[in-house]
Amino acid sequence: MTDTKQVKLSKPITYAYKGENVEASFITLLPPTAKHIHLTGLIKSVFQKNAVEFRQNQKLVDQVADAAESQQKEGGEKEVGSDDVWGLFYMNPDSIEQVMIAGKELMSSGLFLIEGEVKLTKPLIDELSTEDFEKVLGEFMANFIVASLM
Amino acid sequence: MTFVISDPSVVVNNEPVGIVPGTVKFTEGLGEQMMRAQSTGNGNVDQIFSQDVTTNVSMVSFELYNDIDSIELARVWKTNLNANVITVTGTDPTSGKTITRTFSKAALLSDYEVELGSESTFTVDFKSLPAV
Repeated sequence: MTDTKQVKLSKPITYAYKGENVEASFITLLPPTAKHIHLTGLIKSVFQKNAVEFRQNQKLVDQVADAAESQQKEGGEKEVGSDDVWGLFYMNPDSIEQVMIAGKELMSSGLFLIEGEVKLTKPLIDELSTEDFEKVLGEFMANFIVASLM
Repeated sequence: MTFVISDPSVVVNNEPVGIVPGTVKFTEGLGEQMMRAQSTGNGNVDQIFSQDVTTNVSMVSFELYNDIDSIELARVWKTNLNANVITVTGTDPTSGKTITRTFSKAALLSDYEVELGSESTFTVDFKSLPAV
């Protein structure tokens, strides 16, 4: 598991910084702590439930597991990514909203920093494009939630 | 049908702020203009028009309930000097239209007064660059 992770935004957002509105091009992700277990636990449980329910789609489950494992090893060739994680969540559409709501709460908890400096807040999350929202949250889950699960 | 906006959202330095409803006021910061007449003789006049750009300053104010969080928040804004950004957004629920004004380089110039009482509120009054 890495200490921090930077995710580039495909559509920059504006945020207040030192009295001016400036454009943000990336978001820095910090690892969660025990303070966030009510949210990370929920996401883990949904992920695990999906993994168990959809064992027949073994290829995707294995792909995520292998990627997470190789990421933990130094010099691992393949990294688990946002698409891998969302792929597993999308296999059970009923849980997507639950994951996104918990994810949105995590995003405004101080673990997501705009340009590594300013806390991502709810008004700023609302500015993110759907694509960037999923990408940022997916990378967070891939790096700090699913990776620790495998 | 038109809808009067009375409960806009106020965001200060990226954080949404809870305010007393119906207390948001702002000026566009477009400045004051002056019009005078100059005589062209025989009772005729011409117009002299000028813009006083020194008044191109916006004001945005609103009231807060005097709970501890709001009092502490206002203190942070005051100590930020002019490094605050305020965004006011109003939405017409009938048409979905929105109006947004952003006030950059905003500062609380006056020493705002905090009144402690069960029904009290206090007003914060920012001055900033002209609204955009």
